[in-house]
Order: sequence, then C-alpha cells, then structure tokens
Amino acid sequence: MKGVLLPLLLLSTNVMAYATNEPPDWVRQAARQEVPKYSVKVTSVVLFHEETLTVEPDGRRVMRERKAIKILQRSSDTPVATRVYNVKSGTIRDFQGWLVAPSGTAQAYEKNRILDVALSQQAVYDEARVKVLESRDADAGSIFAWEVVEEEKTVFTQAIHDFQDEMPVLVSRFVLTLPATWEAQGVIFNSEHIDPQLSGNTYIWELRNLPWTEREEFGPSLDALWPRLAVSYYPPSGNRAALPSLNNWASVSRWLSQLVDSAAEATDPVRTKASQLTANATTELEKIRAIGSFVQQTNYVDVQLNLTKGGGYTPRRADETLAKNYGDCKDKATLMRALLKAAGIESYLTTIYSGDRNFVRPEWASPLQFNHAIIAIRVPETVALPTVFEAPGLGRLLMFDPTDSITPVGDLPESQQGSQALILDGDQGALVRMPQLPARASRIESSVEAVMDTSGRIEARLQQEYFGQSGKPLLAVHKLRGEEGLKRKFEQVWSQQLIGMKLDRLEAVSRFEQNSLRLDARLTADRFGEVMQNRLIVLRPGMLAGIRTYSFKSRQRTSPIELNGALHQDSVKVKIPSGFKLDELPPPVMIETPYGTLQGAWTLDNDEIVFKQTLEIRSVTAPAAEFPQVRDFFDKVAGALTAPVVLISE
Amino acid sequence: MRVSDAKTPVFVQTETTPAKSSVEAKKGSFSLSVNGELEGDAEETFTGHRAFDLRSELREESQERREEWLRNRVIEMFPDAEVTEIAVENCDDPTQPLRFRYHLLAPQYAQVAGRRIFFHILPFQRSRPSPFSASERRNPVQFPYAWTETDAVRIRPPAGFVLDNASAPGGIGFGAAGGYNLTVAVGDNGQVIANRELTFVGTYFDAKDYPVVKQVFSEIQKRNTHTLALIKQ
Repeated sequence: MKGVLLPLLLLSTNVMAYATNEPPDWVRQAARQEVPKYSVKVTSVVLFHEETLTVEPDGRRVMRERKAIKILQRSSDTPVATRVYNVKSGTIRDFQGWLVAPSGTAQAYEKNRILDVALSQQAVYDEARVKVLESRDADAGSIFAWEVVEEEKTVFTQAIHDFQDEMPVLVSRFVLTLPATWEAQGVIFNSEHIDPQLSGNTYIWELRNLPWTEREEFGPSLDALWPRLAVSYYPPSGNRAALPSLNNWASVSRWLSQLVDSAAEATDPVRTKASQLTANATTELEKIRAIGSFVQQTNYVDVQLNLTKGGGYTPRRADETLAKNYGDCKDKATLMRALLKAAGIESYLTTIYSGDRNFVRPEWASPLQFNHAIIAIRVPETVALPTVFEAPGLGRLLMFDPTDSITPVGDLPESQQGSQALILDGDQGALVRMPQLPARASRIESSVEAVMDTSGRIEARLQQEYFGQSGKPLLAVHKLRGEEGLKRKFEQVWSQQLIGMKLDRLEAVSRFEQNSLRLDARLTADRFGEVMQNRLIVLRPGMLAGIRTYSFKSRQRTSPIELNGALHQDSVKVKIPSGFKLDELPPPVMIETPYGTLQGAWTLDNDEIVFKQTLEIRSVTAPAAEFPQVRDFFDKVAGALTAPVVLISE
Repeated sequence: MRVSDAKTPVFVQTETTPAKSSVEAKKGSFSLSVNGELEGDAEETFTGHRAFDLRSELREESQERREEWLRNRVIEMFPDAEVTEIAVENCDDPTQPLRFRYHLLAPQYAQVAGRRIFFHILPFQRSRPSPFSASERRNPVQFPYAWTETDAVRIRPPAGFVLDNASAPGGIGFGAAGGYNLTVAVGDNGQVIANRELTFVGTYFDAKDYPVVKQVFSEIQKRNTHTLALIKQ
C-alpha cells in the first residue's frame, strides 16, 4: 500500500512547491494597476487590501486578509505584514507571503520567516500575540503581498476595518458575510458615507484612491484621520451564542456594566483598607483624595486574560488587586470603586480613549473605541474642582484617572480632557464629554532676576512654578530619574538657548495635592549679552522667559491643529552693567487671536531692563485652512522671546 | 589590533586618520535684506569619516529621498526657509567628496531692532548647540575620529547699511587637541567675509577633564554664534 502512495505524495509535494512560489491571481491582478505619482516622502503604496469576515451562527468568525504593497523607492522603512491574534480565543490558520520582483519573478516566503511574538513589551503575560513577516531585500518596483486566515471565537458582534495606514491606498475593501436573518450596519469615519454592496447576506464596503497623509506637528493622531469602517452586526434575539446586540450607548453600558460591576464589591479586606485610608479624613473630598493616592501607588501591570468572554474589559476582583498590589487600568479603577463604596461613596467605571480627544465618535456605540479605564465619582455640591461636571442623568461627577500616578484628584491627563467617555451605569450609562480644564489650570509662572556684567555674562536666579498638566513632563522625569535626571533635563533644555549656560543649583519641590512643581535655579550664562567693540551690548530678555515649545516646520498643512490650553506668566529683570545705558527697546506686543493671546512689554526701571509677558494658549482644534493665522501667531510669540534690547556705553 | 603569527603574535595600535582627512567644508554667498531675509547659494562638502557617516544615513534612500532629507536638514538650520535647486552629489561614489548644494531663502534670519539689523556671521553654525550640556560627567568623552570644519561665508548687507561697532572674536587654541580660528573682514561693496576653521584632533578625554572639554565647546559655540550689527547710514 505504501509503495503505491509514495509517488502520489511526491507529485503532490512538487505541485505545492510550485503553487506556493507562484503568487495567486489577486496579487498579479493588483500588480497590474497604474500607480499615480506621489510625494517623494511616500515609499510604498497599498495596491490592494481586503479583509473578509465570515461569521458563523455561534458567533465564531473567520477573517481572511489579503494585502499587496508596491515598493516605490528604497528606504529604511521596510513594509511588514502583521496579524494580531489572541492565543485563547483565536488561531492563525494560514499565513503566506510573496515577493514579486520588478522583473515579474515571484518568490514565496518560507514559513520560518514568519515570526510569532508577544504584542506587548510591557505586559508580564499577555494572551495577545502577533504574527510578523518582514519584506526584506525588496527593491523599488517590487510587490510584497500576503494572505492570512485567522479563526476567532468571540463575544463581540462588532468589527473595525482600517481603510488606510501610513501608505496611500488604491483599493481597500471589507467584506462581511453573516448567517441568514442576521443584519449589519456600518459607519465610515473620516470619509464620505457609502452604502455597502449587498449580495445575499454579504456586505461589501470599498474605498479607492486614498491619498497619503503626512504627520504634522500639533495635529490629531493619524488614527483619528484615516478612513475607518465601524461595523455592528445583529443576531436575532435569543441567539444560541447569547451574543449581545450593541445598538446604542445604553446597550454598551449595560453589557460592560455586567462585566465590571461585580468585581467592585466592597469585601471585608477592602472595607478594612478603606477605613485605614480614610481614618483622618473629615470631608468627602479628603476621603476621595486618600483613596485616590493609594490606588495611584498600586503598581501598573498589564495582564489581559480570558478575552474570549470579554476579558479585555473584565477587571480582576478588587480584593485580589488589593492583595497583589498590581493591576492594569480597569483593575485600578475597580479597586478604587470598591474602596469608595466601602467609604460610602458611589462611583462608576468609565471607558475612554487615551491619546487623542477627537478619536471616539458618538455615532458608533462600541466598546472597541476605547483603550483605557478611569473613574467617575458621584460628589456633592461641596466638592468644587475643575474636573467636576454635571452629567445628564448621572448627576454631579468628579473624573479621575487612578492609573496616572502624577495627576492628582482635581486634574485629568491632557489627552483625556474634552474627549468622549462612556460612564458605565447599566441602562443609565451614557457617552459624555469630559471636562476641559481652563488654560489657567495648566499655567507656568516664571520669574527671573539677573545681573549682567560688561562681558555679557549673567548670573541669574530663575524661579518657575508649573501647575497642572504643564508640569507633568518634568514631574515624570523627576519621578523616574530623580533630582539628577531633572537637573540633566533642565541643563539640556536651557543650554539650547543660553550659550555657555552653567547650572549652579537646582531645587525642585513637588506639591502633589496642589498639583504644582516649583523649580528654583541659579545659573550663569557667559554670552547672554553680545558685546560689540565694548560699546554695544545686545541682549534678549525673552530668552530667559521660557522655552520655545510651539514651532511649525512646514508652510503647508493638511490636518487640523490641536492646541492644548496653557498660560505662561513671565517676568524677567536684567540689571544693566555699570557704564552702559539703554539705547533701544522693542515696542510692546499685544496680540489677540482665536488661538491665544500675547501681551509683552519691555521697560526700563532704574538700572534694570524689565520684560513682562502673558501668553495664553487656548484649547482649540483649528481647521487646516487656518494654519497661516495659527503659524503667524506663534511666529510672533517666538519673535517676542528673541526681541533684542540694545545697550550702549555711556 | 592583534597581528597573528605562529611564533610571536603582536599587538599594535592602529593609526587614526588625521583631522584633515575628515573635513566638513561649508561655503555660502548671500545677501541680506532690510527685513532680515538671507538669500544665496550654499555648498557643503564632506570627506572621510564625516562623509561616511552621512552616506550611511543616506545609503538606503533614493535620490529623491536624499534631496528631501537635505531640504529638511536645511530647514532645521533655517526655520521657515525656502530651499531650492537642491543637489546631492557623489553619495554613491566614496572616492569623491560628498557634496550638497542648494539655494537658500531664509526669512527672519537677521533681527531688525530700530535703526539696526543684527545678524550671525556664520549661518551654518548658528543653530548648532554645544554637544555638552551637563555640568558634570561620570564617563570619559570619546570622539570617534579627528575632524576639521571650515566655513567660508560672504554676506552682502542691504543698501544703505554699514557695520556698527563690528568686532571679530578671534581664535582659540586647545593645545594638543586642536584649535579654532575665525576671521572677519569687509570686502567690496561692504560685503562681510567670514572664514572659520576648527580642527579637533583629541579623541579621548578622561571624565576629570570634562569641565575643560565642556568649556572648549562652549567657547566654540560662542564664536559660532558671533553677531554683527548693521546701522542705517
């Protein structure tokens, strides 16, 4: 019997080898497309991208992805094929890749070129993994193509298709096939609405000729700009897989609430801890602060387990997080809920997108739009903080992020302010916009007193106080690298604009509950004043006022400009060296725009040059068409910092 | 380096290339306008290790990408600049010096203050910070090779403006580590001519010598950012 089979097997192997080297027709077809002329910055173009999702009656899904990329020019950015999957809920059934040389010769990638790696570098253990195939040695004109098939068992009845990523795209398509009697609805963000082509119970959404998007300073994240399709599908009620129908935010809140609420139980260990933490607290706010500080100290460790049953959204039990002293964002928020409950304070877990305040779209009710969990605490009228707001139907709420260890109660991380978040309260839950704190909450007050000698050298005392989010980057350095790290950072930044700068002393005082960081520095700068023939000294007092944060390299703009509110109040005094007097002062500056205001004045006060400036940046998202005006405003801000004062010998 | 020999293998110190073999030379001929705009042609040439460093960065890129890279690099030096007539030459030919050429229009290069215009005489150097910002150091300082930098710049002032109390910061010597020289002269039609040469041959310094190294680069930066004033006649 064996003897008969062997030749057949050999034949079959040969055919397979030939078949895998020759790419399938869809690759050859994609390769025949005409590619338009793109910017020189574009190195590759997606010729064809298709995701085909087939849903079984029990909710299992099979996703086949096909993608073909043409390399337009050699670059260090090598295209990579990736597919993320979850080891518990899914498997990669097949992964094949091909490289078609400009001559048309094709080569299939060996299976051992496909790597399987953990998705997160931070997570101790994570079920999420990714298959990776790199297109090495691809010359300009080559086509890199791959096909991957993933099978997944999931409770989710929604899917996202990204029509685009870093490259321009010629054709991108999402194909959804549902069991009979099921229905689907899709919405496309960042592109005109299109209706799907419907054939039986197969839906097809397709976009063509998507241009390249350039990353721009102070712009939204590219994820928030690229066209993406959000699809929800609806099984008939009473379906055997008990899949949820998420058709509005209340239904998403209801579904997530049943995943999260039971974990926030105030068990005995939780009650004991809450009593300890609030023993000296006399007001509700003091209790919230005491509990908030404790949960912020709980170590952040990302562990995602049991995704099949909504694990990515199910926190661990609060008493378990308390006992182990670690958890991820939803674990920490749940621990805080339980401790607050034990202290008699009601709160809600809140899901949010951390990273871009414009990412979440209200028109698609889905948990897939969020990547982070924070907490909404019900507070009485006596608690008056900038992060308290009235949520329709939910009452007066104080928002807080217990995962951010340097932002205290009363403040919110910058990227979360003004963004849409879902407060989970069963059927009463709602998507609401988070409070946007006033610019004053993120102010920097700076005061400098300097004495200059006839060589232009100054000795200066610089005192700066950072409030709210303005101080977070420095606080993060202070927390991670200590005083020494902060000193290095200070020297690095200030030596860019003060030539020959030497830092003699730096004291940092962090007042966590006041949400401020105070720096007191003594420094010298050899060439603050530029001396010309011992007769003229030119100095720029604004260079002591602050660091130039806002600059735009390009003259063109395609994406909106996102500005975060901030207030800078600067006072600089420079004592004139003996033998010199004032020759020229810059005229005062007064600019008012929708993006911010600037008031600056240079005066002579006895033997001191005094520069005072107030710069307020408004929290706005300006359309790209307003870029010239935005840029003009910030050019003037930069101009005030470098405006020269001229001294002349007496 | 170990030279193998069956009987008597020996260790020898490899030669380092002299500073004149790794040259970064910059030339520019510009004019300054009354509103502080600088315009003219620039050329940058690199040899030896300096050229190798840049070629390594550009090796994988197409010619168009190299030119785009150069444009961005110039805009880093001159914010808001318009850079045209860009050429990247000899990138793939290591036997020739690597050469960049471009035409530059840099708005707000100089600062207008009342009757005066203040401008840096070394356009290619003015935004180059000192590599040493930390006041203290635990580890030695090591440069990968010795090198030379030269700048030859001509700047024509706007009509009706003359130099006001002009001075030249002069040179400095770093002993065995090298030296720096900057000369400033006035040519025909009031053209300001600046010539700079930096030679740095020291490649290794103990941490205890860090304050001196820092001071040297601070002095270099002071001279690199030397400013002259023009006044309306």
